[in-house]
Amino acid sequence: MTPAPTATLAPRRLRPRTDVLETNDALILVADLPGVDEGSVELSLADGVLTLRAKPVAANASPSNASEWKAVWSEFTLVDYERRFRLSAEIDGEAIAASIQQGRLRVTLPKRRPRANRIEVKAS
Amino acid sequence: MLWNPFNDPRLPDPFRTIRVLQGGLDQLLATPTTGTTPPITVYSKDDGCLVRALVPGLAPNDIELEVDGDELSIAGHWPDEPDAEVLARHSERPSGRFVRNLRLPFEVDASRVVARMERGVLEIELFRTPEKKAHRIEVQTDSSRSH
Repeated sequence: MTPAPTATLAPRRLRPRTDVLETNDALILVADLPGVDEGSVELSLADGVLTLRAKPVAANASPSNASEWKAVWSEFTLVDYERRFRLSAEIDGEAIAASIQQGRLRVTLPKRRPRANRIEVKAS
Repeated sequence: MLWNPFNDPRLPDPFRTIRVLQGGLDQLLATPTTGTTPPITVYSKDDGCLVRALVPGLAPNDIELEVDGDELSIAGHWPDEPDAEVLARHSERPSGRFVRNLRLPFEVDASRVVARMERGVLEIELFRTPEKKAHRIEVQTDSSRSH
């Protein structure tokens, strides 16, 4: 077992593991954000890029009664998360919905319904 | 009889290096880095230790915790995403069942294990079984005894 380092090169931001599923009507993103709840996650869309930013809640970032404990084996650090996704024009930005549960974020991005173009022909 | 270099006991084993490397590789792969097992961090103090594991998406009911002697076992099943006509999928997240066994440096007092889970972070507090205290034995020297 390697001992926990005393000085870490911990990344300042983690790129959360995200699944992307496509159905007929939408794109669904499922991202793992342990330690995060609805109050500490931010999703924004600008110029076709969806930006996800989140912070682990303070109560989760370090263990309960942190001062009593000494880390002896460390496989993760809980730091801020950030990831960007480029969305196609096919996505209806107005209708994006998201929910988070047990540190797992689910974002539903509906595809734009194809507009049936009816072209009226006038008699000239 | 022709001399067979692969069978001659006086020669060094030509496959020894490969066997050693394979053993090392097996050990390396046994340590989860990415993959389906949740990453853990272990903290200790005098009378016990704290194990934290990242299990985003799991509910407390999805986790099976077992303590046996000095071993802690964490098992569970990552929740499946409802499939509903998925046309395409890019997968980064773990799926399926996982089991992780940890050997702790002490016998665990099974009656005092506390586990809590919040926002996908599992915390398990384990305490040592109270040992009989070691007795201090005073060493007599010859000069302390009267002759």
